[in-house]
Amino acid sequence: MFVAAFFLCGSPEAPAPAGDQKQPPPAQTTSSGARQPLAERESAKTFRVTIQPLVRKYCVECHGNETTNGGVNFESFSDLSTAIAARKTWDKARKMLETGAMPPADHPTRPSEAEVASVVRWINQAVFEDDCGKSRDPGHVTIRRLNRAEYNNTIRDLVGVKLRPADDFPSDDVGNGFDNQGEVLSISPLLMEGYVTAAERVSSLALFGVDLKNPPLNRLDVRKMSASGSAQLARRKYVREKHFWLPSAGAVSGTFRCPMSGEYVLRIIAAARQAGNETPRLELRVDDAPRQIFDVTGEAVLSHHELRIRLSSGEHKFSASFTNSLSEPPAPPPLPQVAVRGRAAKATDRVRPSREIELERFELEGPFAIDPHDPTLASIETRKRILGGASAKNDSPAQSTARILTRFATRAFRRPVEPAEIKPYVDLAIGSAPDGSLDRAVQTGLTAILVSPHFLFRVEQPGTPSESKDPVPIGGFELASRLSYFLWSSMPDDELFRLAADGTLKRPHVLATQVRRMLKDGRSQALVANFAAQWLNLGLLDLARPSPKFFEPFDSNLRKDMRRETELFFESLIRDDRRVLDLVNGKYTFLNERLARLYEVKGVKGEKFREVSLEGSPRAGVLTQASILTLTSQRTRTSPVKRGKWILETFLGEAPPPPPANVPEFSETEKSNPKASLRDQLALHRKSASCAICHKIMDPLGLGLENFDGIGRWREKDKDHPVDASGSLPGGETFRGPIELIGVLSKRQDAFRRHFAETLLAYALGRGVEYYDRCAVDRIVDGTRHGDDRFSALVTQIVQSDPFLLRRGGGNRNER
Amino acid sequence: MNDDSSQAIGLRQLGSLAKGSLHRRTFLRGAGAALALPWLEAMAPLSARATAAGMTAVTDRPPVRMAFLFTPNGVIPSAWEPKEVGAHYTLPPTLEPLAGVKNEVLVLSGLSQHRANALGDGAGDHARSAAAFLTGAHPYKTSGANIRVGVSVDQVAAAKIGRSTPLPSLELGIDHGATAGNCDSGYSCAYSSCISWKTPTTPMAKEINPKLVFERMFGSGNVGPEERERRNFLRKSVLDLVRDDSDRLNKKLGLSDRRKMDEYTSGVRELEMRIELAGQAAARRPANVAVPVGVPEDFARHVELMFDLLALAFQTDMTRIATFMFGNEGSNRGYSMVGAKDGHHALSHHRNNQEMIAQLKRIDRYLVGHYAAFLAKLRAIREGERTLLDNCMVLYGSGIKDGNAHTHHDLPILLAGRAGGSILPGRHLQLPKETPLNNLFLSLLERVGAGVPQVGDSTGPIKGLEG
Repeated sequence: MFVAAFFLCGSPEAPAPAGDQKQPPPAQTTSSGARQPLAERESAKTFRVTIQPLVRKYCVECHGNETTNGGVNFESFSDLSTAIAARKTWDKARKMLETGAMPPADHPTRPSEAEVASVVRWINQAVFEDDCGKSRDPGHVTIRRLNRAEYNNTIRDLVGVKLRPADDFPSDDVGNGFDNQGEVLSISPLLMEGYVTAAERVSSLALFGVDLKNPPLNRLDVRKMSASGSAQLARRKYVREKHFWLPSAGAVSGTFRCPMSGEYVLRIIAAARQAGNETPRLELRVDDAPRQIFDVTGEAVLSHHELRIRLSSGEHKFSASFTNSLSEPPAPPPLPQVAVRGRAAKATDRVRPSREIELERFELEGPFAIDPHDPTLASIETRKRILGGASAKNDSPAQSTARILTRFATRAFRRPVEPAEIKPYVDLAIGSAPDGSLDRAVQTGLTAILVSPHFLFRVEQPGTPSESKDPVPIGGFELASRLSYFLWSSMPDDELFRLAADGTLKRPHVLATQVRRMLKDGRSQALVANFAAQWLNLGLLDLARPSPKFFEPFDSNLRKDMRRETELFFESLIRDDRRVLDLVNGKYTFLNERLARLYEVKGVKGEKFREVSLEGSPRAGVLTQASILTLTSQRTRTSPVKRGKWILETFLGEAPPPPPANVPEFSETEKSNPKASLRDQLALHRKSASCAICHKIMDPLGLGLENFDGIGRWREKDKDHPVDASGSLPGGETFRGPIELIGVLSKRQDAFRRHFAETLLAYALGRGVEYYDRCAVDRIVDGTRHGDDRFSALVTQIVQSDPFLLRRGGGNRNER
Repeated sequence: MNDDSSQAIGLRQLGSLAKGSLHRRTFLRGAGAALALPWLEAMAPLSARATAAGMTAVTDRPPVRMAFLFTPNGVIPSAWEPKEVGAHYTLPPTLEPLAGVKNEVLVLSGLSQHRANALGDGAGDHARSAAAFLTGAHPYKTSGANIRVGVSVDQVAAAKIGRSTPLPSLELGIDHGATAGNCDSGYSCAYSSCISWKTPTTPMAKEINPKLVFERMFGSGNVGPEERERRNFLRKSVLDLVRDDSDRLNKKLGLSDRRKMDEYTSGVRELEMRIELAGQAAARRPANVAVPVGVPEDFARHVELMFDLLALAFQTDMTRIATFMFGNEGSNRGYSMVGAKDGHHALSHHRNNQEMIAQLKRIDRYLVGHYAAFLAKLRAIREGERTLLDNCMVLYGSGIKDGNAHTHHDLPILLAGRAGGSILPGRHLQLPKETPLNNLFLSLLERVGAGVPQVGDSTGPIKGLEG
């Protein structure tokens, strides 16, 4: 966000490009103690003598008392103190000035470069107290609930069940480009309900190996059932499945296997044909004992008939007999199961009204409740982990419950738990099991812990208003969680907990070691899935719908491959600790056969992806990957504007302002001049001053990629026009084709590095990067450069930065 | 297509036996929209059920229900606006699918959502139009911190009358919340993916999975009454405990943190209320119904299923207030079933390209068709002397008039149902230009028993709804 308008400000090779190296201390303030009255007087004077006249000259026409465009009114700032209170306004103004977006190009008088520089300098000094020497505000992270990915991962690491309960939660809102931002993550009643349901399911699955809330439903295949009496397999018209038809007395039987003892529901799904004065009846027997008789009502309408029953583990036989057929014709001889297709039956059927039953299927659902003494329970891994050795010795159930829950809560809350704090949970757990059942008590306790705000939120101690306003280090366990949720989107592991407990985690070299360990760990895949995918906007690839007419090879497989390539590229950045600048110009990628064919790379066979060198190819970094080229294209053509915008936003953090209202859209010019090439058409709209200001940067950047079509294939021609992938930027730089374009971008590695660092910092902190983070970002960027730009160097710098390690002193002052 | 739907919800109709002796009674005729009717019809009328379930406050008059159906990207006005005013108007092309229910629908012209305008905030009309649609408030422009708009009309009602039903309100939709940080020119995605706001800072997430909607209403799984009782008791104790815990935590938090914790505690409280009514909810679970399975891939089936569930929710009095989003604002869904080749949003910027306009008209008409089917479904359910639809107010509309121009005045708004007799539909009602949409909401709130002096930017109730 502090990136200057590199493309406007001439060649980047000029010494000390603005904004990327620390500016020398300004002449009119002392470099230490910016709070000194002298400095303040200086600032006030500068404001009066320099700033106000400039603002009056260039700004108040549109941003004053009379016209207040965008709600910005510079005339309301009567003196220095009212002015510097409006930080947001000045931040925006600085950005507008730096990018040259304001005053607008068609403004009759434009400030000189020196004038712009003086205002920007004053903003930096007076408003933002740009002095990295003194203690800085580390900011405040709004208390964060776990998002969906974090919830699933945390359950996986905490409990060990495979369930992904958060897949059923409503989607998380996104702020600052990511779905892990505290301010934006809210809890709707729908989500609260999801939390409770998930807690019940997880605790049940963990302890009993089965989700008692949604137990498995077994449908018995008719082919595995046997028939007696009149029962015979039949097939309905137009439907493949068969069912049993019972035209007169007969029975169908089969067996189910119960995985454990408990309460089950046995269900018969059947329909009947009514005749005579009785309703057709089915008698249900379980293990040959009659259990229930069902009336099958309705005419040809399937109905469910249920029996709730306790069953021991193992096989059980059950049968359903049709007991009151209307007449008692001699039972047909037992038939081979699939033999009867209707001929014989049809003949008998026509002669008389018939009371019949059609048996669609049997179902066994359960267990809904289980026997706690079932021996199979003891072998469930997740259960063993939770109960530990608690059942040993002469502990009372109450003591065991307390120990089990304390251990679980310590991990679930990601910090040590006070006895007084866990007591209500233990009391509730014991109270819920009046029969003294440990299982029941523990299950209730687990459920409660998983619904607790200490589990669902990442609570960081806020401090007290009485403490000093100076920044305060966050606690060791808080740091462990910040680390693990940053790099794994999950809870800390045992090693992090241990280092938090012995107080060594915050040591710089320990942090550095942990970062390297954590990035090598498989869980760092979360950075790809959650950070990279959102930063690169890969989600848009799912919405891309390239027209088959123009982009025939595109299909769902290719779409997946494209995404996979980019994911693997980023994964390699993390695991193999490559240089972050590889994202811009790395000469390698990961391909399988399909993608290699698209790229015209030879010698890659099969579905499996492998690393491929791009030396000598017109591709480098992520920009020339098919995923990015596709998601920045339209259905039927490329979009140089979108591609240029993507480069500015994603690589350089210079989001161009939205287009002014009511601009004629592109196809209008296309229509007025249908024969013109895309390049010529784009040139047309750069003639308008209001468009030119952004498009003179966006368009050339995007046009540099014109050799790649809408799905990223190389091409020499666009329809009938030979592709001209040359461009010249406002600063005078020129380039031809993607590799030279990437060369131009590579020269802006400082801007890229800074933007990438800020983006990763926002993701790491769960809050937007603010003006007061500027010094921290400076240090992170310097440190990364000195660390050979390795990904681990950047991450280490971030986790050693003030915003990551400190919190605001004096309790949670809130900004607004 | 029909076979799958019937499996998902409603009765599996039995076909003829092998020898064809049993008749195949064709419930599955025509559109899938009619599918769920057999079991809806099979249920007792509301008042009888409510009595059976031990509901308090069973009056002679069934309650009035209110639903807001939102469609993104505006419409083509020329094919939407009737030429004549009053009862004898001709349905314009887009509204033709309403022919069968024309007498149940009021076409409203002249309503505006002023707060959706830029008001100095620049681009972002899609996000603003959804955020302002039911709130009559102007969203704060942010892609991250400090999301803020206003309380939406459905949540104003839910706060007042939501306690009389197991669910205070129901938020349904088809699209997931978006997953990009910036959905529209610097506006957070929350603005374009939610129309219901419980507080100015808490959007109500919508449920898109029919199975979860069903379970939310009637409970999940096949649990006996005793076991259910036990579980609900446990749930309640758990909630008691964590509420105490969050109260303790809250005392230690700063302002912005406390706001987040308040969302948590209010969610807990709401669930506690729900549990009080859980027994009743389970008792109203329609017998003999297969629970819907997951999210259908087919758009039409998904919408139909959601409308089946909404009808069921109203019929069983699980809730009286609902919102439904056909798509997130700015949705770029393709409607290939009506030959719209490009995405909805891309098309909506039609720049008077006739081919694009033609496709848009087909989309508009198609979506109105779903509305018509839903109304027919509600009308087919008897409720005492009347139909369920007679006791409803079902609004359909968009926060954008014409996707090309992004304007928010003279919005396309339809209102169906009679609110128990206090609305006379079957007309085209021309209101004074620039009448705030929230004036209509004020009138609806009164009819649903949640009257307030003002809602959002309302200036006074609408005149002429009664005829």
